[in-house]
Amino acid sequence: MQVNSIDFAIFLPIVFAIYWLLRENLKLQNLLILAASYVFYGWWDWKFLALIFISSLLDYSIALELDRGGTTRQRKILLWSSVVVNLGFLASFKYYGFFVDNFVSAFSFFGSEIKPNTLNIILPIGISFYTFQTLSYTIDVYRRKIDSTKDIVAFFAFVSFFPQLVAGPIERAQNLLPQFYVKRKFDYSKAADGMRQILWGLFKKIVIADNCAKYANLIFDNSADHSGSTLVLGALFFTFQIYGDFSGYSDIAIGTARLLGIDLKKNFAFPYFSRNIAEFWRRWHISLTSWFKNYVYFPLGGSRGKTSVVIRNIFILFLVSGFWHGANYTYLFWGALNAIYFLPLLLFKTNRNNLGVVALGKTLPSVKEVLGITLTFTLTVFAWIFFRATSLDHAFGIIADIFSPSLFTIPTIDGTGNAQTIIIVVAIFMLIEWLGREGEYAIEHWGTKYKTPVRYLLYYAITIALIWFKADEQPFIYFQF
Amino acid sequence: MKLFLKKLILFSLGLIGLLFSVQIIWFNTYSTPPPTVSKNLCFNTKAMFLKHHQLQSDVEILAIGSSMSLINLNSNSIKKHFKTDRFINTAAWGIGMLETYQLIEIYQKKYQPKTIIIASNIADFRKPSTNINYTAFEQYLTEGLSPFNHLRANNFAQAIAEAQHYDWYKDDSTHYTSLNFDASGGVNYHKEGFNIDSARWNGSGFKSDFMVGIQYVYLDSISRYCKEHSIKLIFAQTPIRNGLMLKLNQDEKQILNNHIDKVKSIVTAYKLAFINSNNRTWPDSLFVDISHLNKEGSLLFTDYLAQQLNVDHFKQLKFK
Repeated sequence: MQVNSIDFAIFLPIVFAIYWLLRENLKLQNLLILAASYVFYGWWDWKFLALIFISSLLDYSIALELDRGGTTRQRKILLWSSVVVNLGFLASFKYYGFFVDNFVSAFSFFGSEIKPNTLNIILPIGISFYTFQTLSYTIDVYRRKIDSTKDIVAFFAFVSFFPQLVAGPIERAQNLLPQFYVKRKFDYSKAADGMRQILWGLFKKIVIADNCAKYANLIFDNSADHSGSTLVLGALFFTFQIYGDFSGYSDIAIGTARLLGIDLKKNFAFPYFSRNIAEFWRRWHISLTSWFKNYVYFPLGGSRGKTSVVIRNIFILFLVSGFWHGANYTYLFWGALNAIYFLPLLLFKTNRNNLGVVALGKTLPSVKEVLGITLTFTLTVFAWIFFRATSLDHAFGIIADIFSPSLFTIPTIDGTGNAQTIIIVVAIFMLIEWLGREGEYAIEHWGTKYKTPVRYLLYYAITIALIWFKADEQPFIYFQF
Repeated sequence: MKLFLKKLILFSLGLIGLLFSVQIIWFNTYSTPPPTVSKNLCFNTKAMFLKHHQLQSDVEILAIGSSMSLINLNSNSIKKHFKTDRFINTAAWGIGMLETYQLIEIYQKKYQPKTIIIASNIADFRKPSTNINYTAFEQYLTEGLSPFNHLRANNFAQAIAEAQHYDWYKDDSTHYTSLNFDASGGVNYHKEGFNIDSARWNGSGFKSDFMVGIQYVYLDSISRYCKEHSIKLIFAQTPIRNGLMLKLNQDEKQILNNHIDKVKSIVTAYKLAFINSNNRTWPDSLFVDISHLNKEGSLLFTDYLAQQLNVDHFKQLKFK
């Protein structure tokens, strides 16, 4: 069930109504969340429910065992059982084909032909997200950062919580699980804020991402037919598509959770206004970045130790992050490229600069900030070419075509009139994002800044934009990860 | 909770009122637009034409395919040569072999045609792009669709653009995107007043990656389907204006000839009729661009088909 579909528009009000009719009966509310989450997930393919059920049951049981004590060796065996099974599921479903292809290529390189037993494996939607969520719980119990839970309904609801199940934010047990233990009272301002964030998320997805996708797909899928300047335009369309798509989903997820009285972590913080790459990574897919930092980067030693070790750790961090996105060399290259961007900042110890909001309390940024934002944005757009391309050859072909004399021609794409409108809409969108950059999301302050009539006019304007600019419904990009 | 629900209901009521007003203004401004059963306005308009056409079953001859069938086949000439009024032209712009194959099954159920004519050129073998919703199309032909179909399938901007375009071109035969169908569903381009676009007139040559293999597979499926259902298929390779033919380089000629040979071998393998009109020259005065004929051209082309086919002989052929 897509969160921007009619199905979800019917599903959510039903869940919302029953949920609050249960009059703050915690157990029943948790049970409802669990049932709704399984219906939501089973809507795609009910067969995958077994997978999420096994993952949840395994980590629930292992965490209880971990809390019962035992020797360090026994606890390590328990932890590794969880890691192996969870990552085993992920590897089987997501990376099997990739490894088989590479195995075959390696053999054919040495002159031996092998016929692999290829399986037509369908990737269960959102597997990378809930696997990481349930895994972090077991690791945290192992590290004694949190206690295991005996409340099986609360735990299962935590793993499968439908607003963020298929595309994050990847929640940590420390933040989300305790919220299933306490009574939730209906809070008007929280619910209104949730609705506002859902509306903004829908705008990002339907108006920005789906419309940019039309042109990004057109240009990337026929890249050989386009000039350098058109390819740059295609890369820009994809840059806004992926931001609108993914941060839009996060907004809808966070807003939906708020309607149910639950707070999820912020996942995006206006990343395209970052002044360097380190800041970008503190603001883009925050929940995944912090997951990798805590469970991969820090255990490797982080930024402590010899320079060579630090460089190795940074490369591992970004390569793993790239590989998490998909079994393709393009994602690995994208990860490596970001590591290369990041390294100078770490080595010159400037990666912790720019921790606050850009141009805080001001309308316009300084010249230095503009230069920083422009450079970071350019580097990011360049890296997205690898993320979007179908292969490394495709990506390098696009880059070669970009850096050709045709870069200095006027971009041409089919239906240019409409593309111009979309460019204007994206510009307005970025302006709204800039003006709202101090909030949790761009239009958060509308709730307090404007009087009711103005506020309603703005909400109607967004709703009409949703209808006016509705393009072909595109599946959320991050569902495939 | 009460306050939240109250505000939500108020907001929703306001929105419904707003949308309702827009609908009223729209229906008072534009003609009833065709249903959105594809991303192709011509096909959508053709769907509306077929829905309201007097012929609803037992068709003798059915033309199908792209603008080649829509524009280059002359309805009156077909009726005259085949001595029947039970002819319908279902063609629309941009319909390649893939779409044709899917549509033939729908038309076979509805019309049970005895003969199918496909007029085609190399452009019909490009990457498919029409995105027809076959279920909605069939449902529309048989039962009808919700009046809000065009809003559900499109955004407002697209829906209004389509409605405007429909209003502009439903009676205009001097424009490339004319939707002015004759009684059988064909379009005749008027020579007088036709504003020829120089880019379309000059066109471009044929590139080796122009065609996609899957379209040939679908042509094979079409031929097999016709054979299995005892439908006489006539596949006609449409003319290219002489001015362009003379300008084609060796590679481009080779690509065109290879295409024609390939198509011929597929169709004739099932012992179905294949006619290549490029065996003779077609003067530029019969065209509005590289391959679309004006009314005079379509008459000559359809007569040429009948002559090549020897209609009387063809009608007596039994394919079973």
